[in-house]
Amino acid sequence: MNVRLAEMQRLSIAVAPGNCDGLTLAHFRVGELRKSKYDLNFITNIIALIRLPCGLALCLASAFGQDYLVKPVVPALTQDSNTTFLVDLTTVKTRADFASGNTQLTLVPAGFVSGGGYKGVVGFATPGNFSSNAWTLEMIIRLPYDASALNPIVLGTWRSDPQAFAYTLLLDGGWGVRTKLYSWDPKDYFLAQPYAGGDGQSIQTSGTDKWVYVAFGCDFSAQRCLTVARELTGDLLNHDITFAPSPSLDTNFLSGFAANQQPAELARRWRSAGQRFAQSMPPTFALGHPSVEIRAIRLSNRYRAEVFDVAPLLPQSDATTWAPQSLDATRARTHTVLRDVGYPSYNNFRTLTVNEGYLPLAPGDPAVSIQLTNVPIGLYSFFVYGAVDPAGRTNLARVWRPFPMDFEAHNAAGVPLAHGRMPLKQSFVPRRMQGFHFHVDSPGNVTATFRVPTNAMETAWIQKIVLADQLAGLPDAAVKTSQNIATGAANQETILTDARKQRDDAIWAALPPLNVPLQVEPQVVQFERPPAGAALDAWVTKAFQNVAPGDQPDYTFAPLDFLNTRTGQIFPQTNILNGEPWPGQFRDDGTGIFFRQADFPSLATDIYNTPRAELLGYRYLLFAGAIMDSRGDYYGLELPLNYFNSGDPNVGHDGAMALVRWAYDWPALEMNLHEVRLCTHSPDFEYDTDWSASRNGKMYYTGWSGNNAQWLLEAYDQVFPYLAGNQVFADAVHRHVPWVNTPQDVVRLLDRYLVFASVRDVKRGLIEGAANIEDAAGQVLGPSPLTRDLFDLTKQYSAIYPLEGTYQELYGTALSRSGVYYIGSYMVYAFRSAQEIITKAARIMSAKQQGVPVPMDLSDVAKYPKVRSAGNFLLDMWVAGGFPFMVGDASGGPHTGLQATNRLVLAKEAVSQAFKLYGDPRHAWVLRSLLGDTNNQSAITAAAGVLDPILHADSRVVPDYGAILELEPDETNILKKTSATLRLGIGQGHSHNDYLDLNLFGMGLPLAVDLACRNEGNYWSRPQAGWSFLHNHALAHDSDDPNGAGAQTGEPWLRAFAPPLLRASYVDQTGTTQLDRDVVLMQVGDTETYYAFDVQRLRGGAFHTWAFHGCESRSLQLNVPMANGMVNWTDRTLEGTQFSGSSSNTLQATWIMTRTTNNFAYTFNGGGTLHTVACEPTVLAALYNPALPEVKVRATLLGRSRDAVLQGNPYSDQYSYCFPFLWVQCTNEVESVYPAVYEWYRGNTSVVARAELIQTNPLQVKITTTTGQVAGFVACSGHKLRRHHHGHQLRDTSPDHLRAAAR
Amino acid sequence: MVAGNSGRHIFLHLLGSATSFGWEDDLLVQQGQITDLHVTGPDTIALTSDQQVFSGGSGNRKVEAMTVTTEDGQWHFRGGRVITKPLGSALNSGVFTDANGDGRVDMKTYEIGVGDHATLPVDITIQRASFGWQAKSNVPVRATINGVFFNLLASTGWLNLSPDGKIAPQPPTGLRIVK
Repeated sequence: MNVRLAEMQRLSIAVAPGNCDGLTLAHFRVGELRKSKYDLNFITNIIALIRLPCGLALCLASAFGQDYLVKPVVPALTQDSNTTFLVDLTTVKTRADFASGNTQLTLVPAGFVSGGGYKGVVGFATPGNFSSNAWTLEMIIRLPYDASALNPIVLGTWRSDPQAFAYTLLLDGGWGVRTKLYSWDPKDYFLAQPYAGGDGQSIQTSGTDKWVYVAFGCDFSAQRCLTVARELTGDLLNHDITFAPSPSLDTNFLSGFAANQQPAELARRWRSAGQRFAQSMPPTFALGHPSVEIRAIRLSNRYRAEVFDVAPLLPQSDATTWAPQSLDATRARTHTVLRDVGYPSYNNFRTLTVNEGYLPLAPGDPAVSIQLTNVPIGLYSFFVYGAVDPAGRTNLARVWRPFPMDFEAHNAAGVPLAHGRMPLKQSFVPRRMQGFHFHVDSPGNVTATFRVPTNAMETAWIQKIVLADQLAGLPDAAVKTSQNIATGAANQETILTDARKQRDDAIWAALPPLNVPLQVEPQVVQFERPPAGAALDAWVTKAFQNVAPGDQPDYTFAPLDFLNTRTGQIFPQTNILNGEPWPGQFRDDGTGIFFRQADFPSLATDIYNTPRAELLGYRYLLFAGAIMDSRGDYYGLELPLNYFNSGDPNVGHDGAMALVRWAYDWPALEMNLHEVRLCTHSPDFEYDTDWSASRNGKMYYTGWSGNNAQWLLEAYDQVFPYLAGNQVFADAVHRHVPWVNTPQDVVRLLDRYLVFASVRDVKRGLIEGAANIEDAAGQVLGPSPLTRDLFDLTKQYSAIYPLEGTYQELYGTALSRSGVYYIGSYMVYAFRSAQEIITKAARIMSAKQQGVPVPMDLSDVAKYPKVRSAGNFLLDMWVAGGFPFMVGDASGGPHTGLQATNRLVLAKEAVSQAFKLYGDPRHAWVLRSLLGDTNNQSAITAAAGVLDPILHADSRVVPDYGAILELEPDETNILKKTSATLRLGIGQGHSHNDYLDLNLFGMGLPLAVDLACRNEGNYWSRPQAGWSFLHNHALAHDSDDPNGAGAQTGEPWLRAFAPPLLRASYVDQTGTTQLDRDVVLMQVGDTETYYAFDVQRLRGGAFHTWAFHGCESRSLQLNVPMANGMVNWTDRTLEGTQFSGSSSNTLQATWIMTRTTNNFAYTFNGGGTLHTVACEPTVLAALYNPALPEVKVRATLLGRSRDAVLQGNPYSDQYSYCFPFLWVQCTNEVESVYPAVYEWYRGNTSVVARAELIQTNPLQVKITTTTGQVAGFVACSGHKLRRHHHGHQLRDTSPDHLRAAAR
Repeated sequence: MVAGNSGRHIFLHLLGSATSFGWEDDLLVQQGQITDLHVTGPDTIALTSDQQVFSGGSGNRKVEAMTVTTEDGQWHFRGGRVITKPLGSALNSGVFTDANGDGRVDMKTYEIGVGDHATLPVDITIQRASFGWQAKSNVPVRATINGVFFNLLASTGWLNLSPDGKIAPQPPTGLRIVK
């Protein structure tokens, strides 16, 4: 049945109205998520773009290798002493605005374009106007797109046969802006053709429909001739280094001269060319082209080198930048080095010789200081940029030598405002080395000093120091007026007692301040322990000694004091904050203890041991737990939540004070600066990439900073009733922040330092854009002119991996039909993504209900169906009663059990919001029956009569993810469920090469499923779990190396969804590889026993490989002989598990699900012993019955008698698996057909007694079960007609029309 | 059903019946600000945007096979060519407008559009039952089984076939689909 779509149609869905709900925060357990690094490169890209409030520059060096940006040269076509001819053609005229010669112009009045320039050729006299020895011709031109096919476009030319010389200015479609100076005189041959463009870049290809500055210059005496094309801003055209000047001079003639004669001959040729140029110059010159619009022309009598030179944008001193000369002119130096100068994108640079200024600061040298006058109240940062003195080295060691810097800031009275010792990041090319921060609580002058202490082992070459106002652009107003997310307690303390003050002091001091090295995230393994032979003292946090981790939150506000467990010595908080080193032989001053391999040969490399930073990092984490309700991710007092629930004013005061303390530093907190791991070595030992530049965030890295920010905003709302209008609390804060005098000042502080700063940090790339901080901020602050834009999704900045833009555009572009991003990974990432859009829609609904204008009403699920799809996604990706649809990383694995309940509990808020948005009864059921929400009457009502949507899910298709067959939807016993999934969709970031991957579930077990795990750092899988050949599909490839074999470059699609039948296809990007797959799950009689019949047809590539693996198994039983031996295809599987053989016409492989653990020694990544789990008991848990026979999964592959059979065990220590995979491989077959049967059973009686390949074209297979049931399957390739002939069933599926039966 | 064209196939779950149907999915697959726009002919355009179709060009995601519209949805294009437009309107760059007033002139791309094909596979199942036969089909079928003629309506559930008890519950053979 074919229909032609007459119009796009959408159903309207009635949206059940609902009340706004609490703030929904996406959250997940510690474990998988903590190792995600998918957004590293993305963050790098953001940081590379300067999109920040004024004065706040994070990093000028791009992630693409450029050391400097190109210095802009802004066109200035005005008259100066070198101007010989000048005309502005934006107004009608017949004479030049200035000319050293005749001013008369020759042009056509009709060529003037209203509001533009002049389109056509302009003639003018050359005597006096066009100098001959040296000149620069500058124009501002515009070429319309419809003239872009013209090539070349000659802007001006003359030719003289007597002089044997020609001169041309042109726009060349291939070379760009070009000059041609050509003399064909045999004695004086000369050809210069400089250009700006090339590699396909030209005005015609990439510079149409806009004004462009082009310049042509020549100096015959100086032997220079160049062209250039720039934007009117002064940057090279399109910020493309290709449009920088490129000389081109044919010097082949020099080969006829001796080397010592060549310079003179070259000079002679230039002079001759100059003379011919001058003598051939006609009395008038026609400049322009009928298709080119000219805005202005300037001729000069010199070669304007400044126009053509590509120079680096070197630091210039100004009010917020101190270059070496302004830091200390007596110590300023320059050196000449090669640097990459260009723009942020791949290969967009030139390597140039640069005179680079620096100020050397060696250990013990006098400090450099900066004086600031009249500094307003606020929070400021100095960013130090520079390099480390190479001292004759060409490369830095991976582990850098100690290189701290001491910082101090004082006010005019000499009162310290801030101090600290921080490690400097190192390179031989200038980079951001560190940041130092200070608060100004009363306006005045500030003096800042920077010195390298004597114990440093490097010399700093400071290139600049930049001052940033961390609060610039953030509204300085008290916006929040009410508790907006949910209504809680409101009790307040009424007296500020001395005890209360002491408590406040303790709270304020318990958070390590800025300018202190921390290690909040785990340290690299290489740094965790000191070397053997180094008898370090063991320092602990005094307050936590002998306190179990679960009880440590009670001591969150204890002093930071350290305790030496060996000597009992106490290292008090004041020493810590003063940066004093620990006493003893190994003196950690906060930057770590450096151990040289030369001194400790047991070390593989130099290392740092960083106990002090780690202890303080833990204090930071504990303090965070005192504020945030982390949903169990952190230990903590969760004071705001406790106050919200209990109303205890003392708790409320604690929580509010802790929040203010946190907010006080928050705008300047930057992980890339405070984590010692990121300041001591590169590339990172765990991830083998340069994290010193790219890894960033707030307390944690960007991906988790989103959650942190969400929880902080939530905490603010929870304690708001305590601090609102509370002068007692304001007085308490005033003791630490002098400019806070009133309750409104407290709100002003929190709104600005916490809320608006968080919104800003999303744009800085420190908080992930997907966290929807803008909405959360808007919700927390409430309606206000200052928050209106936070709810405007048409303008709201958003980052949904891997894209960024306005949310409106990313809704369309970055979210799939299921309302989740294209991450290609389900259970952690896409599942979270679904919650995020739901939460966002709920917030918009809430804002709308409060009267906030919402230009893009995401809560209208009829207009924005991806919201509803996301709600469905929360429920529809659970298979066989609760297994995850295993897609990509972090989505389960071969011994994963039922996960739906656990995950839905974590997503409770999103489920609730989804129900409120559009009233799906299935969500109501989950709320009522799974999540125990007995207060939601509308949910209770809606859930009446609804079956468990997970347990009783029907076969379905999840858009952009896959198709799911549920063969026993009515069955309540998990052990009797049978399901299959077929992977569709495409993804990036955590995706696998898993097109048309077939997974099988039955008997309450994952029978044949994806490894669904990562390959990142310590979470490695070998071979990498995402490789195509580790999935249950056929793949085409061109070599026997599995790395890259069958990589996914296309998106599969479903051809038919007719449960129990699925038909799908995949085509790669080039269209040369095609895989068609038909799968049917055949029921045996009326029982709950099934088997799968599967036909794959594969075309393309030199190799065809059928790949399949069953369940976790100790071994693989095959009915063909196999010999021990490794080939390329299996060389990454576990040593000793590789076998190979030859297939038969009926190849049979049986996996037996493990019931005990096992250990495997391995040598990869340093070696070790991995421990596997007992799969069946692990999955079934309480349902496991050891009395039952073992579970077997058997695959029978037909008709591949000539193929090679390969076997090997992929493995992973972190993911605890090691079991056989099977591959059947052939070469040089145009189309390979793989009919296969998969069955699962317990004991020794299989489901299938016999599978027979009757014929190959059309393919006919006969399958007889052990119960005597016979089924015949027919599959035709030409018209894809597929039938099966069954014992009691006849079935026909045809894609386009009905056909007569064949028999 | 499968909808689209040779460059883009998608599966859509249809809602509705007979000749009136729709779908719940949002087929918007790209939206971005237009960065370059040229009218290259009376019904052709060339335009670029700051947002690209995710993985556009990969296998079954041919961008030129998808449907591009103006922000107001009045003009539709495929492969740079007009496929629908307001009656009597001439193509010019001004047809792309900032319809929602957000200061950005956007283009939108949809997975399928006017002129694409929709294909619904025919699915007929006939199975033996104790009383005779059961059949299920998503299209009307006239067929003979074991020489006995049937005229079946499309149904979502099983239809019981027991014509005068003359059909013995045996394995089905001789399926001949007449229409």
